[in-house]
Amino acid sequence: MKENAGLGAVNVKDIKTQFKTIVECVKKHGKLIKNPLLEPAEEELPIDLEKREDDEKFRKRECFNIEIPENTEKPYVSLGKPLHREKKHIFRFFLDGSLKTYYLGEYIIPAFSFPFMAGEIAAACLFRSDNGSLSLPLHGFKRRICLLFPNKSLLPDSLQMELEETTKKLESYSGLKVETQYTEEAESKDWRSSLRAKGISEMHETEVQLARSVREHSTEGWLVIDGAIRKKMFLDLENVIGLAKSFSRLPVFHIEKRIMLDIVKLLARLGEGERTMIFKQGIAEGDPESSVKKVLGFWYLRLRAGEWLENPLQGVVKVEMKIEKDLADSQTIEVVNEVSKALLAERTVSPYPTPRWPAHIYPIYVAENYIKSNFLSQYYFRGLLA
Amino acid sequence: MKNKPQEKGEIIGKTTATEKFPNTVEEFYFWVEPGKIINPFDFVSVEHIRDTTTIGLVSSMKLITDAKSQLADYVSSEFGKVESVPQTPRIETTVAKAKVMSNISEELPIEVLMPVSANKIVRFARADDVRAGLGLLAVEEEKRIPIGVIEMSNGTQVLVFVDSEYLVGPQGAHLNISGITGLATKTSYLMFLIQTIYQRMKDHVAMIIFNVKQDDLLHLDEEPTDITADDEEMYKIVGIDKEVFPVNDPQKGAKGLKYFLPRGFRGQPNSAYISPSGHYVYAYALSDVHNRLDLLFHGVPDPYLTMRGIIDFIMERYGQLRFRNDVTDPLTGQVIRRKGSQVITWEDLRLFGDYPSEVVRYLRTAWRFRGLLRQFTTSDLFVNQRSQTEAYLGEEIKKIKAGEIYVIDIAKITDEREQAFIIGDVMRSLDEMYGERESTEIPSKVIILIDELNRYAPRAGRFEEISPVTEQIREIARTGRSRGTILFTAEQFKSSVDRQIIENSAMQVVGRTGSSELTSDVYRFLDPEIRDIATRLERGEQIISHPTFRKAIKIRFPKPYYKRIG
Repeated sequence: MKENAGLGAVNVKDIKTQFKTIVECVKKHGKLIKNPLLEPAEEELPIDLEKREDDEKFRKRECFNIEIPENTEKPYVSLGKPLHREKKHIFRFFLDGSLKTYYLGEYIIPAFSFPFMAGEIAAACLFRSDNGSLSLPLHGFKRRICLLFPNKSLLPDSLQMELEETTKKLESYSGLKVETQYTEEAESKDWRSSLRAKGISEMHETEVQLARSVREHSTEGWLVIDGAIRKKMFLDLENVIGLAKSFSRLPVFHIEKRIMLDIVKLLARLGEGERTMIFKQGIAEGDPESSVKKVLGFWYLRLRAGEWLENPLQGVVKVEMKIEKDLADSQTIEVVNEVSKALLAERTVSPYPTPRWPAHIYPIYVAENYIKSNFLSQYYFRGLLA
Repeated sequence: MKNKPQEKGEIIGKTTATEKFPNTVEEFYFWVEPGKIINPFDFVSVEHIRDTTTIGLVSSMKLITDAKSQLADYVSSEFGKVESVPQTPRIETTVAKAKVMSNISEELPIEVLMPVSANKIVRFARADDVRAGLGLLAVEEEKRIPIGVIEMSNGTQVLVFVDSEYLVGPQGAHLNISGITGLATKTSYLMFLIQTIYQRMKDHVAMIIFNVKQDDLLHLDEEPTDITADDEEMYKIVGIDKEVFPVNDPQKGAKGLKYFLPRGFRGQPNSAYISPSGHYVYAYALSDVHNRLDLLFHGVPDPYLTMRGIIDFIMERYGQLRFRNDVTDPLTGQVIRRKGSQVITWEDLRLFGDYPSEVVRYLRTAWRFRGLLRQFTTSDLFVNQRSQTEAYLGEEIKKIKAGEIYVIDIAKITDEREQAFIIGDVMRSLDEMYGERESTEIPSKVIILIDELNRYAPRAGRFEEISPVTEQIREIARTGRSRGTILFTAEQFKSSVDRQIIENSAMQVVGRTGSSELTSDVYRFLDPEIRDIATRLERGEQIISHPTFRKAIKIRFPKPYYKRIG
């Protein structure tokens, strides 16, 4: 019995001791912030698309401050009291887009086969009136239904022609038209993901169209877009910010070209009600998004802090705004501060306990729900091929 | 619905159906347009399939927000900062639940029993919609008995009536009303109905009203002094004439009120008020009620039925009972009853002890009976001989005619046993009337109003014996519908009254009632939300459940037109 005692059994006490020893060692050389909550294993976590998109954007990781800090050791700005709408109502419009793609089957052609997918895209832009109530303005909602195909070059000529003709015929419909969309890429290891990516791209396109249409009717106040600004067309609009509650961990920040901080290091010391310096991303040669990155300034703002946060990045939003100058002037800084203060006021009311609620603002949450409640039923899509 | 006007009611919201709260055949939900005010018991209309319209009754409302828990609101206030002002107030809406009253249609011959769809416009129902929803439009004009006015939040007033066949027979009969004391609505509502019925059916109906509180119902022929403009308005809607009850005057051939007051000291009426319009004094001699002694002895513990044996013996042999020996006064030794003399009066019976051994095995049983009899008949109401001016109620009841209203005062009779005896005697006399009189002479409807029913027909415990008075009232509740004897009863708590009488009442009325009382299963005919509302009803408001209505409704009514005291 004595010899077999260790077989298959785990001495948990022993493991704990070993673990503790290593942790103590680690703590000597840095700060370890514990996650107070029990999270599922990484494999079980849902994919964060917003973060994934931001990762794409930060292939070139270097970012540079365009605002001169008073203290390079502490590249933060304390904002003071939140700016409530009763004092100055800055944010009037809140825009969000959403996509639902459905895998409806497989499509087989002589030389090729690919998943047959359909997507419903919707975007809503809500207006906030003086008393704080939200409503849907005229032209404040847009819906599209798309069939998603791989690049045209992969399809037989006859199919291409027929699809084009059919699409033209559909244009005579007065209501919602079913569109056909094709991926840019002609190769993919996973067509299902690629088709979905096309859907996402179209969703952003829809957001831009909606933002334009709403701003054409009213230029009152500022427009807040959920997520990062990905399209150049957004930058053509005045008084727009992109608000991302989830962002890449890749960027590295060069403060005054002397101090280099990774994002966790930068945000771990960011206090509640503070923002970071304003940054711009370095542009790699041949970057197709260089025109956007050139005029896009961004900063991080901590809406919430507290021991209950799961990691230093929680409770922080990334704010993107068009800043053409390479060095922010006092006027720009003033606008950034005002926008940041107004964002702090958005903490009430909170969409708690939705996922990522510490960095979520309520009007965007309502816009999300508006879209969700307007999506067609999944059963409807499933039945399309029946 | 033939002449359905094109104008529709005011829009107040839209229907909604969710996975958790679907619309059903019985109920549907709708959210209320911001700024609109509605209340429970408002009637609403929704367009339904095949051009039908569903009429609903608002039963409850709740305000919902998108906060997942109270904690979400706590967090939203900057983690408990009371002074924080929301930058964007939460989305909220009031969601109302409406009970389906009916689905009305101009064309379809059948009622559509399908749930209302989601996202349909909801409106305030128009007066015609309300009446159609309650199924009132099918009631023939001459059979309509107004029972009150529905008042909706948008100011619409709708007269509600019921088919007389469902209130005073033969389809349905009897009414029971309950509610806490102090709001003076139970008696007022019963008298409002009595007045309405009397004014509409005078030639066919007779009334027997028991006055149980002071001189409450002894001024029915006197002009009221407390009628308000609101009452006047409602008289017009309800269609009541501002006329007090007429007094009976045989010389003028006028039929109407007859006040019966109990005999008191030296033959004077034992009443809080003596009407100048005239009255009758009633009293009981043994010869009148020898066959109703069981009513007098109700509630006396009698596990071996020895008392019952004596009572049955007297009831059977009255007129043949004679003293077998002389009876002497124990104090003076004087003979007070001769051998062979007949037992005729109460005093005779108190002295009589010559019961056969098969009736009374032990002498002490006869002594107990005599003791109780003395105790029960000491009041001035029980006389050895009635004078010519004193009436026996039983005889009068048997002579009642259509158009007559008997008000029987029992308010100042302090002994509840005597009160119950009077009521029981009236009930039994009514029963006997149907066997004794020609059916053509009998009023086609006799309505009996009994207030404080719990005193005379209390709910008996599981092993308790039912009293003969309760049995008598029960009998009328059971069989009165077909022959036209209708009970209008009232009490504070339905739970304290004999269940059969309540269950046999077609129309149930509930005034303001305490929440603990409403947990009793006798109120199960009311939906839980309606029960909650019953705890805060105001003066003049009643909740009515009637077999022809799918759900209980709330009504208001004017004060009945006669003088009230206090």
